[in-house]
Amino acid sequence: MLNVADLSVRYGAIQALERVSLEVPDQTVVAVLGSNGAGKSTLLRAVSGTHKLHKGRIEHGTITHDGQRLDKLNPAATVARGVVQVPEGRRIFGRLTVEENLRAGGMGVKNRRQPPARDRVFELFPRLQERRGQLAALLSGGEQQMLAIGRALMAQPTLLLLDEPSLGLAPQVVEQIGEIILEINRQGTSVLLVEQNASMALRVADLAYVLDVGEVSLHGTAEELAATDKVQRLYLGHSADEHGGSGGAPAAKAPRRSVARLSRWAG
Amino acid sequence: MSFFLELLINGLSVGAVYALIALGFVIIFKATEVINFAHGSLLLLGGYTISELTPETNFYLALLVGLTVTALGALFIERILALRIRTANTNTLAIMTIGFDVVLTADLVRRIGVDPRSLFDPWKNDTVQVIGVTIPLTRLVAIGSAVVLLTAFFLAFKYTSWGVAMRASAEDAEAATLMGIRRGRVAAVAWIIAGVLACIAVVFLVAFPTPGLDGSVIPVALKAFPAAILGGLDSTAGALVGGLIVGVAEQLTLGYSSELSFLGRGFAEVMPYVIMIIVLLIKPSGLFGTREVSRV
Repeated sequence: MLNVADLSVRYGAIQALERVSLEVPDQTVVAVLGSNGAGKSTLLRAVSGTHKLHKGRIEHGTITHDGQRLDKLNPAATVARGVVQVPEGRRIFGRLTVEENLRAGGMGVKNRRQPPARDRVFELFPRLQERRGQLAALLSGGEQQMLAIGRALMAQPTLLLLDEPSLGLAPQVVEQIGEIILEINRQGTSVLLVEQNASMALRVADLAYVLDVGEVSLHGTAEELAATDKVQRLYLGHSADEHGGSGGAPAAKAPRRSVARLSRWAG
Repeated sequence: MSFFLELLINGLSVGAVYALIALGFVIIFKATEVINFAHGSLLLLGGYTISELTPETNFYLALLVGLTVTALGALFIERILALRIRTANTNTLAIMTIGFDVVLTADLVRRIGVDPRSLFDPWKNDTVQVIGVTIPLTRLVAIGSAVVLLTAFFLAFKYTSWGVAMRASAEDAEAATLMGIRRGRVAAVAWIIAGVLACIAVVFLVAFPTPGLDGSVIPVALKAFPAAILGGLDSTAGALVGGLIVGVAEQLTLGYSSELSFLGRGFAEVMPYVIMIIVLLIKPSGLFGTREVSRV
């Protein structure tokens, strides 16, 4: 179980997170929704220990995973503890082959665990097995996202942190990514999913949080949140009819779409 | 014809040695984005250590100690730079390496004294006949050693965990960090390898037919710098090709200097830099420098 308590993170003069508390119970998928600049990526960076690479500083609060403090660990030690992040924008190693990318993903843990981890990744993503010898830069966007997830799974995480996995992908591919998240979760890995695509996120998540300019403004089960006025208006009105999300708003929301989009960007 | 062949073999031999040095520049740059201007002094450190020890023991033992000392020297500089690598600009760190270079070189040159030293390598001034051409044995040993070392390096770079970690880290340091790859370790290994290669290189740079080890080996070694740049500073293959181009061009210019006298005397000295400038004008990232392979 991941426990974020009263976390404040600052980049120089910019307060990115303000007293954020959040829990990811074992075996669950937890979604964090929020617009650009709400602090979603900062939250994941603080958990994985990479906020320092962006000159971020934890001012206040703690992050614990199964009783162990993560906020004092370096990124490599966090990976070794089974908490692994898939970065926003995929960030696969384009000049390495698919297989080398996976190998790089397994480097945070002991080598002898690699073959079963790779078999599991290939089972989950048969496309990667077909293309194992290819340069990763030549994969399609959806395949690159699968590789980014597969690469993180090579470290056999107990908690997977996903930063905007739907970014820039076609609706069918986003659906597929949603299925994959559910499957990874069924196999016993908890997932902390940061998303702007609320309909996909709420469909796969058990619990959800809404971040608003660095603070948690709403939280509850995914169903509860999907039913709230605010989430419907700000997050689902825009995307529900595009992706047909089951937990989402009715398609009749179409006339309100432009309004919703405006307020979303304005926020 | 045999004169040309002689120059060509000499050029390949000198070029192979430049390639070893250039490869050091390249892997340090790939691992840390810092250009190591202290490379020349590290090389001198290796040569000095060997020249001190060979008379006491034997050449191979001295070489082994020399390799260790050079590797540790490189690691020392890396550890100092690592203190600031997260916060300092890489240009600042490159200038710090110039500082190390000046200090270390000054001390070593003082210790070496006025007369060039011999490393007492076992090949002495022997020569061999190859396809009708007389070649110093050291030149052939240099080619052989470079081929073995470069092959070993490229295999390691392609297949070992360090190689994969190094390439991943060079391409996207943050993503590599997220995978649990420790960039500091990757960098430390890169500096150690660069130090080892530099120490091997110095043995051949000061062997017969050159006069021996003194401070003047540094400008010679730094011809590997245009070699690395013209090959592409982030390309290991570029270091190899750049080294060979510089070596061959230099030896040919030297050999045909009377025909090339219109260029002025001693043009061989500047030839590597002239080639570098021409290559950079045509291909600013060097021959094999990064060009993104990506789907449009």
